[in-house]
Amino acid sequence: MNSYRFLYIIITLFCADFSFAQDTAYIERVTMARIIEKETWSNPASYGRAFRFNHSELSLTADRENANVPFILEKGKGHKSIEAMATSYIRLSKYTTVWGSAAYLTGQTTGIRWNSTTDYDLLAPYLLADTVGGDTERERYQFSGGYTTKVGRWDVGTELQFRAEQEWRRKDPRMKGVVSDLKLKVGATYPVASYRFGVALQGNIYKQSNDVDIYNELGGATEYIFTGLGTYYKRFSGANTDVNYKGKGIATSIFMIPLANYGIFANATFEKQSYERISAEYNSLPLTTLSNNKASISVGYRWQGIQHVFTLLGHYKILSQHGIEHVAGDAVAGVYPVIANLTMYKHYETKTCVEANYISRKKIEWSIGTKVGLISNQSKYIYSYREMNFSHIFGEITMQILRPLSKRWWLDGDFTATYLGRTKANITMPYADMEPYFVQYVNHNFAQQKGSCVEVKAHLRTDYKLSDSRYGVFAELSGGMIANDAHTKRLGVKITLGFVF
Amino acid sequence: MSLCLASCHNDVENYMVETSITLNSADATQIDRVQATATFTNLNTKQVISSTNFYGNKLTEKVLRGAYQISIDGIIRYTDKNNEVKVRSFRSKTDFVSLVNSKEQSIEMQPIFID
Repeated sequence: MNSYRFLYIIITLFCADFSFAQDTAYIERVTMARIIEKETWSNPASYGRAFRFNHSELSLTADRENANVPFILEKGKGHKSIEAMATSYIRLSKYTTVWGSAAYLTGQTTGIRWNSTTDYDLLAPYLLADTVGGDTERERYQFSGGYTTKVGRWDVGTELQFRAEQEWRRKDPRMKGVVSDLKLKVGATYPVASYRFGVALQGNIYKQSNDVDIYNELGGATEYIFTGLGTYYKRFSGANTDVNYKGKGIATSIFMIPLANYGIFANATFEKQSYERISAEYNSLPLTTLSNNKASISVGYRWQGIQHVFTLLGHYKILSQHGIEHVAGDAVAGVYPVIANLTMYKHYETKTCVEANYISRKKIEWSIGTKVGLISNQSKYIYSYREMNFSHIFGEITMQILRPLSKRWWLDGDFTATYLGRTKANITMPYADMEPYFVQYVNHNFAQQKGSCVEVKAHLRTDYKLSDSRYGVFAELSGGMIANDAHTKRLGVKITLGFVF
Repeated sequence: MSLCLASCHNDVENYMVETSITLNSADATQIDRVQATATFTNLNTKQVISSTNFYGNKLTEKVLRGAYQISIDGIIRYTDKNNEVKVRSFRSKTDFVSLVNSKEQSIEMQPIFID
């Protein structure tokens, strides 16, 4: 019986044309009125109850972004990519939902320097790096699938997400990073009085094999094993560059959401992830371990009338990164023992903000929202002491409109403007002991990140239902610009064409 | 919350070790003075620390825990087995020393006379 049920789910996911492309299916996904519910959708039990209507999409997205100077040298000046994606969300019954997605992305990142490792956002500052850099090519495959059902008064759900990615360069220094990243989530929700409570747990396994080859017979640039704020592991830096990253982590979240039109909302998440960098050249010698701990809490209140919704939210989140260096002793038969561990790198990033949103839900739905808050960044390296701190206050305004143009034609647009104003910035570096190109690298990133900046972005999507109401097509255009007081500008544009069924 | 997150890391906050180097020689019954420069080279970071803080035949220096090569170069005044006071140039060098104790660590080194 179970095997038939499983077969039915798989067939339904891939032959989802039983479902209907209904306006309401799209509206319930984009409406701002569900801003509080969206905060809980990382819990699969909650996501399985998120929508009443089936919705499947095939889409093709072209994305291009370019800056006159990189904001962060390791991330490059820009990128261009094309992504094909299929997503499906199907209510099999009143109590059971399945969803899934598959995506393939191919693209190029331009003007990278000081980074030969994939997944900068996860692994920085523990990267392989060189002064030359260059453009890289990338390919990414992503799959996910989830299932939610009801057991008594409990909603229970599970979701599996998998990402396989590779990044490489065709010219010296020829970096290559091959990534696999697997996440498994389980979640449950339970109604108590006029509230629904939820809890979720996530496990993650991460691997990356990373190396740099030099084909030039005369050799090439030194590959540095970075250890944070312009420092590197001098003993093992050089030409022996094969490293592996092994990561593992857990995350948990709890939430409370009102079932009625008004009430208090609260959501808290905690995530602990560690990435060990291992030298493949030196008999699997562990070089460094990066511990990323994240926590966030959101508390809010919602008032919802027939035609109006007002939400007030407060958010606090913190990222605490500690980098441990494993000190290698004297090699015996080519095997290096680890004789000490030192927590040399520390980074703390906090964001505190309050957010208010008003949504008018008449024939034309429109909303206006605003956020104000404080972002703080502190990084330090213990010995020789280095430090880089900066903080900003920010204000943001968002407007969205969702309106029918005709019986079959819908338009959804939004506009966001953000201003970050510098409140504090200081840097301490042993400049006299640093090589000149390391001074340039550290100063560039600091100058770009400490400054005040303005960002504007807009998004427009139009959906057209075909004469056979099961199907529809859509086009989406989004673009944005960010500029800071160091005269750096970045422009981005993204176009998506898709088919809804 | 920051404190709570910090406690979730497996941190090692004990960074420095107080290192004592004692110079001893089989030729000497007593070493009363050393004028020399001791150089600590951290093999992993390649950081170099020099010190001349000899008190008698003993030097004390606080260094980052790790793997070191230590070399000493200077002049030593000692009393030999014939009860004669001698002043001689010397060198002493270790290939690899592991300075990883959490508080204090002592090392004994032998001078090699170069005159």
